[in-house]
Amino acid sequence: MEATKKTILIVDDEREILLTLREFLEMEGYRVLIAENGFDALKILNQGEIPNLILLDMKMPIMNGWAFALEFLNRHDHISPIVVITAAGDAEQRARDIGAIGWVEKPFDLNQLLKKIEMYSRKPPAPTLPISL
Amino acid sequence: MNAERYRTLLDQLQIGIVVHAPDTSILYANQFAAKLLGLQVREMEGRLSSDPRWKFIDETGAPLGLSDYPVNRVLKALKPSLAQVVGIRSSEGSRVVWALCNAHPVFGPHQKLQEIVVNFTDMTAEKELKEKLFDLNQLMQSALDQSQAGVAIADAKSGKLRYLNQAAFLMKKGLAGEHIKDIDVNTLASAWNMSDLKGNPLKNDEMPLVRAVKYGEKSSKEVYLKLPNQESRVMWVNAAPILNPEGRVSSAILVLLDTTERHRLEEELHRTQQLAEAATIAKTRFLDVAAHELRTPITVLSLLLQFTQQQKERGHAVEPETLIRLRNQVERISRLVVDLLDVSRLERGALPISPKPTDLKSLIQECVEDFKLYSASRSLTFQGPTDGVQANVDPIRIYQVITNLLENSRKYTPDGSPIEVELEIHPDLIRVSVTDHGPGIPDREQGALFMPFSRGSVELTERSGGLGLGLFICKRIIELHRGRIGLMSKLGEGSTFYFELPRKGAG
Ligand SMILES: [Mg+2]
Repeated sequence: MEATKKTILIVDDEREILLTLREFLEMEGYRVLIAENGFDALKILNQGEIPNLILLDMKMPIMNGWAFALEFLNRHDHISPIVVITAAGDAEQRARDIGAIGWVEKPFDLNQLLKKIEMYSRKPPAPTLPISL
Repeated sequence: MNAERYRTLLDQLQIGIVVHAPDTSILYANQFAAKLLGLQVREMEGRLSSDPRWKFIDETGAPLGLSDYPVNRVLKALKPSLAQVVGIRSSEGSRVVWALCNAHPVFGPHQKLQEIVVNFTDMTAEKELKEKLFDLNQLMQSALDQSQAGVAIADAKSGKLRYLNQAAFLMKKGLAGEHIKDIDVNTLASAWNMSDLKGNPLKNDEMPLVRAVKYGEKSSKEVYLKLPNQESRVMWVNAAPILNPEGRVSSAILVLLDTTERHRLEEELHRTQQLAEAATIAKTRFLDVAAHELRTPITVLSLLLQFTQQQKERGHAVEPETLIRLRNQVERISRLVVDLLDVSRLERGALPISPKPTDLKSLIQECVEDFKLYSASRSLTFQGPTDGVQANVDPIRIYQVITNLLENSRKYTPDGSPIEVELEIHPDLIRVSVTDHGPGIPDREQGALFMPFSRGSVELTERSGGLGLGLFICKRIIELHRGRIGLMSKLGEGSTFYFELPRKGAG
């Protein structure tokens, strides 16, 4: 049932994280989009994708998590909820800084990540209805 | 009055009176005179001035020559001999009594010398006091001259300087032939070139010594003093009036303390503290970055393992590629840890270097070939002399440096752009360079590249990943080989990292 699949956008500069998470989430029945930095993520969003959830790393070259969140707010009005994934100790603060709905600290447990994704992801359908945060 | 009455009167005087006959024999002496010479009055009469019962000495302590005896001076010159200071050492003791003598000739008819009258006062106490004062003065002056502090004393009545110690004298503008007693407090500003801490020259009436001597004000302030050699010093200037018993200002004293060194030390301490704080902040930031960099491969490792486990639980076989991916992450962690250990050893000066005769050409070729194995997509060329190049180096460490430079070139330049390695022989040195055609490095970022924990290198690291320690380690390894490492870069054209090793000691 391709139409009911939730779409998750993962943004992280660590390619191995992108690949492993994609494999795992696909196995769990998600549709997964990946981007290596904020700039590439915006490109995907500009193509009209409205992910049910964005997993966002903060430290990235070219465009980091903060810059991405700002652009995302300006251009897309935070149409998708963001969960911050970061190796920094102050993940909660970072999540608050950019208006994210939740956070995950690296390294993390895949099952817990799955629970957070289920909890926080925007319920389909109504992909055209932006939620305000 | 009869003669006896006169005698009694003369004996009550506190002045010694001795009357000599022209042959210097004593005709009369009063009691005070006898006492001063250590004899009874009746023992005096008839004695000559050269009597062995007493010894006269002059002010230097030397025996007084006979011709200098007051009586003999008068005998010789036939006129009064006045205000002569004579020391009298009586035969019993070594105590010296000092007398201020006046001797007068008394003439009879036909200008014939009849008598010589000598009168004298006891000035022993006065002379001792004078000597004590002199000693005290000498002591004070030499103490003040030893002092590093400048001391000056001005006299209120004359309005001139009374005293200047060595240090204060040296701080003063050297005016040739000038006597300190000619320096007027009204022109003091021309003797000492002082300005306030804002650099405004002190007007004469603003100088503490002037304020003390003219207005009785006690004051202290910090000023700049320009020495005769144009050197500028910071001085703590104190001045206070000295009052006479009636409470009026009789003089004023000035003390100048050179506080330049104290200020310099304070500034240095402040700078050192700031540097230490900056270093602590940089190290904390570095620790943050290091923790982050270690956490990333650990995260990947953890994800891969969890994922593999889940796949296994669902009955999937473990793919060989997953194992390679796992191994890569472990290697990545171990590389980071090795870098951290190297830096820690370099900081302690404990990184061992074991030089041995090495062919640099084949070492570089080995690096290049190994590098090609991992980066097949890169065009990597090597250029060097036809023959081998012998050098006395630690081959493992030099291999590490070249590999590090190659890794950097790959990491920071687009995939597919070529990298060139060159080995050149110069008369004094061997030069190895790695050139890329990437975006280049802005000038302002170049210096920080080779420093660990510095703000620049940490910021670069945050943007690019890695610990940013590689170039610092390379720099120190090359320095341990008595060589130097450097960078030439042009924005938009690329960068050349190079190192040079001295040929002295080359095999
Ligand atoms: Mg990152």
